[in-house]
Amino acid sequence: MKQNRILILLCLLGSLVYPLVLKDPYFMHMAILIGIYSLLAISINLLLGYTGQLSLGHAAFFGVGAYASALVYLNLKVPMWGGMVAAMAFSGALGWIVAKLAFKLRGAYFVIMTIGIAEVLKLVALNWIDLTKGPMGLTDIAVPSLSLGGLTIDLGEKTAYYYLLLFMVFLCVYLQYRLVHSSFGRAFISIRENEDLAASVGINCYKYLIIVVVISAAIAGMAGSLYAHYVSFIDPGVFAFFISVNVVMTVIGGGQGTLAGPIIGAILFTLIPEWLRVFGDARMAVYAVVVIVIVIFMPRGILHYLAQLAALRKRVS
Amino acid sequence: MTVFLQYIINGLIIGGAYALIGIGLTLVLGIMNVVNFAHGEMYMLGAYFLFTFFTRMGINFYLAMLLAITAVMLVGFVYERSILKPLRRRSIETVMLSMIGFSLLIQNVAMLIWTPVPEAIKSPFPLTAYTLAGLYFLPQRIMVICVAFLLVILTHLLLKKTKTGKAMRATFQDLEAASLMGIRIDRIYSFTFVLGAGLAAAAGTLLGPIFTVHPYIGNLANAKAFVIVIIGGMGSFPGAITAGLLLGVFESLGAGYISSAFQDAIGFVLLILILVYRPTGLLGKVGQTR
Repeated sequence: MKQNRILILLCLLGSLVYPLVLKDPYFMHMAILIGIYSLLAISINLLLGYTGQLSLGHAAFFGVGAYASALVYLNLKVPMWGGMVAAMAFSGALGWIVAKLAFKLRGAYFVIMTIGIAEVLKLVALNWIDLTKGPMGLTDIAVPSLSLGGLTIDLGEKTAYYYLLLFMVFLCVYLQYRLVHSSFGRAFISIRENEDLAASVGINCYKYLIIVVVISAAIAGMAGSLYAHYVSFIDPGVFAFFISVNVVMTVIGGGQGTLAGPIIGAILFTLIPEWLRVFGDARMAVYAVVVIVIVIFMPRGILHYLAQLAALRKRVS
Repeated sequence: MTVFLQYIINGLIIGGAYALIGIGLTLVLGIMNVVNFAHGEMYMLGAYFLFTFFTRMGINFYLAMLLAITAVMLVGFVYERSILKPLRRRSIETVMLSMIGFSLLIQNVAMLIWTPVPEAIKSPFPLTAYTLAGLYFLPQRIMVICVAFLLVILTHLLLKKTKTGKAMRATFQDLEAASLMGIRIDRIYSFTFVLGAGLAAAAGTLLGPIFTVHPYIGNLANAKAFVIVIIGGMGSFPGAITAGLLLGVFESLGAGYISSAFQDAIGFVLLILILVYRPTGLLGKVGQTR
């Protein structure tokens, strides 16, 4: 436990001084993307890692968050902070509806239902031209500034945005920590391990599953809002199936059902596609092979896999 | 009224090809319990192989179709043997995600081979339509519905009349009992997966000349296949046919009377409604939703 605490402190320190060491805008950009991906991964991890429900439609919540936040800014001139609240409210509400409908089903049915919902929303975003401008997308979503007792910080600056995301990620990790170590978390895990047994000891599985989806959706919506205000342009691509798949891979690669897993996964899965650029046009094909390898050989995450390897090596020598 | 009938007929023609995709997916799902996310990619490959053999190499259309379907079956065979077989005892999620990886791989390899530029397979049939009672029938489309019908009948006969078919049905009903009776499950699985791939490829060769061909057509085909399988009931053969035709008709009517932009959403809306009100599908068994 003490070792863990030191490790956490080191990570915190490392991420705090990171912008001071590497000032290159490209590295800052990657770090911000990692932050956004971490939030999404935490959101999936709550659902997949702790209750065992696989959603391949999480792009729906991400996209709704991005659009909600962008639209309240563009139409009502609500700044990003309000946009974030709106994004979380809309995504959370959508999550509630989806969960109400989808948790009549489990397994493959549930997965396909979530995909269907994301696809419908993508088509709505593409075709409700009056509201979303369709395939043209929404532009000029501005980043606000933050006033702290006379001191104004321009969040358009990459470093400032990085610290904002860092704060959000740590907030969500802490939230996740508190949640999974509460009676809620124990209920979630019992549902993951054996739903029938959980129900038989009096856990209202349906209710807990709805709660977890609402929280998960709200976090994904927040990630969407932060994304929209960072890139300042969104189009229906935010609902892409690929995003949903990627986030699930992130969580599995990092280690599902662990606190650090989503972050490790986010770092890996933001950097791997970048490293694969050396393959040129074949990049995505190689990436697909990486995905298959991770799914088959590291179903419990890369850390678990490395630990296993180390244990094996010790036994051999 | 004529317009309405024309929409129905157009829908049934496309629906015939949808039924083929649906049957393939429902067999793989029902017999192997594999959620095949790469099914749409088999459809895409079928269309692309036809493009290569027919448009590029100038082989006879029907022969090119046959070659394309065989080539896709080969791809399916290799994947089943190399990846799916070792994963047999793993959780459904692992298999599902490996299928997604496979679908990504095929899509991107297709993009490397054929470039992302959409290609058109020029129809070898005359473009003058036959008219009957004010309704138009393009020769190309008549061919589509005839071949689709033929393949459905053939698959049906295969399942009902042959020993392999009997073994497949036995595996569907009870895996362990079937293997105790001396049915070689591995062979049945390979055969089922290859058959499913072949049916999807056949649909690809049928619809390829009607629509354009690009590396991402598999995504939509896949989504529609899932819609069909769920509407028809997972693992139900007649269900997949009914749902395929229904989806074709609904899309055609929706595009005609509501908006062609939302044509592709119709399937998903049907899917969500079915999942909410009758999750076992129109023709599925009750109590199978987990």
